[in-house]
Amino acid sequence: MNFNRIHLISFFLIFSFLFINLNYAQFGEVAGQLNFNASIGGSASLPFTLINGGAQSLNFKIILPTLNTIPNSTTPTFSISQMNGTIPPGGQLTLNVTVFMPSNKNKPGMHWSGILQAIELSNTTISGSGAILQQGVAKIVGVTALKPIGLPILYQILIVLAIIILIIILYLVIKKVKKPKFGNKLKTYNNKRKRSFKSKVSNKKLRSRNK
Amino acid sequence: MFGKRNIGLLSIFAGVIAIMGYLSLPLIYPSSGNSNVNANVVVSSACFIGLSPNSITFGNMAPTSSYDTNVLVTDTDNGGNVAANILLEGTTWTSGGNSFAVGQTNYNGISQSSYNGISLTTSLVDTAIQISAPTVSSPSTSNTIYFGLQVPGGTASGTYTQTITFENSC
Repeated sequence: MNFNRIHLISFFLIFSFLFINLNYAQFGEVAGQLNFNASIGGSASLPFTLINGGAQSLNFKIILPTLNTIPNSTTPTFSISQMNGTIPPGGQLTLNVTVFMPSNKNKPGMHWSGILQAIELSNTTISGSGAILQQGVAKIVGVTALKPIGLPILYQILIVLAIIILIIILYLVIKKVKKPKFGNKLKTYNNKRKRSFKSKVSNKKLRSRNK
Repeated sequence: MFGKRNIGLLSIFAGVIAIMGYLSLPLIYPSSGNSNVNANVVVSSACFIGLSPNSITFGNMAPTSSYDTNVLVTDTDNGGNVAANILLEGTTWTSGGNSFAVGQTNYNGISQSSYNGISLTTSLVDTAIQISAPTVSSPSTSNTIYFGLQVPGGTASGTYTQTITFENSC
């Protein structure tokens, strides 16, 4: 009788332990802050890894960070590779978080912060009044504006192109100006040669007459 | 003594024996210098969350009455390796078309014998309550938060529900 009771109690304890562990799976994240350094007018990306340490598949949804507002600035925006999904038991999923830094009004050194959230979607219901408890993981996110990189390069390319075009135009202009002068010189040279030839011929004729 | 044919056969036989011997050498004398396989793994830092229970009930309460801040919720980090901060947010209490403020629910890191704690908000707040880093010898660590409730005067009768979200951050 006692033996059966002990068995029953141990079975109950093991079942409750398993129930607790299986019912509320361990949802995790890889540690570390997400500090984005994004150039003005550009973007930056970092990975955000979620872990399912439980024995059942885990469904989640993402809540993008709401960043603090800075006067006279344009708040950066976020995008993530997937806003919801399922992580297999014992598996992990790496999401790619991208921040876009608007060029309007923003200056290098400006810093924003917020919290990126991943919430487990559970089917928990409650009978009667009370509070349903939801679980998730949060990641503190920091965004710092850096000097624009894309724009000066574009400017430099444009400047180089403009210089090249100017050189070509100048060359063409110089060539055009020089060409007629050279032509005139050639004409005068040819005329001189013709004249000298004529004079030579006439001289020869005179000599022969004199003879 | 041996014919030319026999000498040829013998030399082929000797050649085969020599090749077989050469091939079987590694089996007789296995080389020990390059038999090691190096394995490596990079263990990242991580933290987990596991709540118990997954709902809390305050029972029947009359308007203006309060429930002591002593309803226990345990937040467990099972298998992580770094400390985690507990963040909290909640939703407005609703019952059909009726509601009352989220802040009527309060929380405290220590069990209270009265309705005494920090009001819950709809935005995520760092509770400053931390779960210590699990270790190999103690792979599961946890911390507790206690909840209480006060029903405001004039609240229409009904079955009210709220969602409280726990988030661990590391």
